[in-house]
Amino acid sequence: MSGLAAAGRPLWALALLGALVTACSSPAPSSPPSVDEIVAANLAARGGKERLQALRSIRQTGTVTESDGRVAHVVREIQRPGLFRLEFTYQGTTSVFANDGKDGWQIAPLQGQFEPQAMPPEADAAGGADQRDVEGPLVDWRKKGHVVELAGRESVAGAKTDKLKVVLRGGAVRYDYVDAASHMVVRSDVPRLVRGHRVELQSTFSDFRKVSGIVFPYHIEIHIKDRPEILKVAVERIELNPELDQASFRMPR
Amino acid sequence: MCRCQVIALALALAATPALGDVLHLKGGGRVTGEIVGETEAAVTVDIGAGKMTVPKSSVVRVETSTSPLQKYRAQAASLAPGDVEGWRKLGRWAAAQGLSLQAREAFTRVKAAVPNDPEANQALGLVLLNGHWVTEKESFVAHGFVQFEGEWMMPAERQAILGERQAGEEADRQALDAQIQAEQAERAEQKSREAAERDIWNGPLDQNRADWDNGIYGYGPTYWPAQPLTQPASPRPAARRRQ
Repeated sequence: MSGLAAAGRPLWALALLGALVTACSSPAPSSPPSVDEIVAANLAARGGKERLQALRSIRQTGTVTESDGRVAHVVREIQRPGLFRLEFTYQGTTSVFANDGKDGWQIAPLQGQFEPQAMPPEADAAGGADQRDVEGPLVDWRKKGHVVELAGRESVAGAKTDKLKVVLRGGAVRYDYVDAASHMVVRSDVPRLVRGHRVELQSTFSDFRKVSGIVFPYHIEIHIKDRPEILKVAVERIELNPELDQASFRMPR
Repeated sequence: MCRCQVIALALALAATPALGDVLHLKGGGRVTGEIVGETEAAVTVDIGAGKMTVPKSSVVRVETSTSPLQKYRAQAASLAPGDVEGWRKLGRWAAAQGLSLQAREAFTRVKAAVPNDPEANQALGLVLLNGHWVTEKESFVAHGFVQFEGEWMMPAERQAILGERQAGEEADRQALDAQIQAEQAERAEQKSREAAERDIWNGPLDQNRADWDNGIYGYGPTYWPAQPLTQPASPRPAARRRQ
């Protein structure tokens, strides 16, 4: 059953979760002198702070393709306050990764896990508050207890960007690269510990489209820095404020 | 899963021995394919990439339908080996259904007929390197990557990981040594404390020692615990023997 074994590679799932999660909270663009100006321009480019704050829930549907050609279907749902659920289906088998706002849990048939199980915090890629934040961590970041600072100006795929260091409440760090022209976040770097070794998960965002006045990336590529394998996420559909069953976020007992 | 659910599941399975099925698990997990076996405790499903055995206790309900895998197999059986466009269409459809292995199978047919077909090669995970379609592995090797514990990386990163582990092991060993030494020292100190506590002739009565043993009588017990602490030293037995 080598196909199944390969399909269940933990890194694959981890990268998938991280990617999808990061994609949701992607923000916007510019090269202004201060963090507040960069963030304000980003929120404006995404559709405006008011629109983002009015978001109650979101559902994104798409596909994830590994560099070896394997394809999985994914559905990601986020709902206030901090509820998260990701389903991915490979070869007719659907796995679930969810967080009820406090604790993460999963069902992973491809890994031989048929019962819901609590996820240890270190394995819960959706455990970070930023990843379950439907409006993204840059909206009212001070109130949320995050710290945002300008970490430099760098070129990403030939474009000038402002590099924001986002220290989330709780200490986790991510770096958002805000395009100086479009004010959209075009790349996010998230340090991760994989089997004791520190790696940097890089997600690049493109194909930005507007949905009911809010801009989202429809193409995301994720890879570990300096490594060749790439995970490509193609978003097919985004629904804003869908009615979601709160119970679906809680681990069944 | 309660008894009635088990029975319902058994009936559902018995009624649909060869149909496509969706096994719904607690919390929304699903296994889709063809049920190919069943025991009292578990159901075996062919998911098109192998067989998966699911405990019945994890299944909340079974939905019977024609699965995408069955549709694929039916369609594939009707295609001629050289029907490039038919296989291409089927490959795209299978990929859209999440049937990666079936999509691969279909595009393998396309590649067999048109070896340099870009769509087929890409669907098979091949990449163009110096004008040739090669496997992902071959392209990684050509670019200097090495495989380490199932992951591709540059040799420098592999070396760094090994170095980190070695340093970690060394640190663990040193920490263990330090712990052992600390425990040994603690034990020795404890032993010493206990010996001192047991030794009632230590301390204030040490001055009597000379009365008991001037080294004249050779080796033997220096102290006699039965000796009343307040009494002066008694006559030496050896001296009595001399008399």
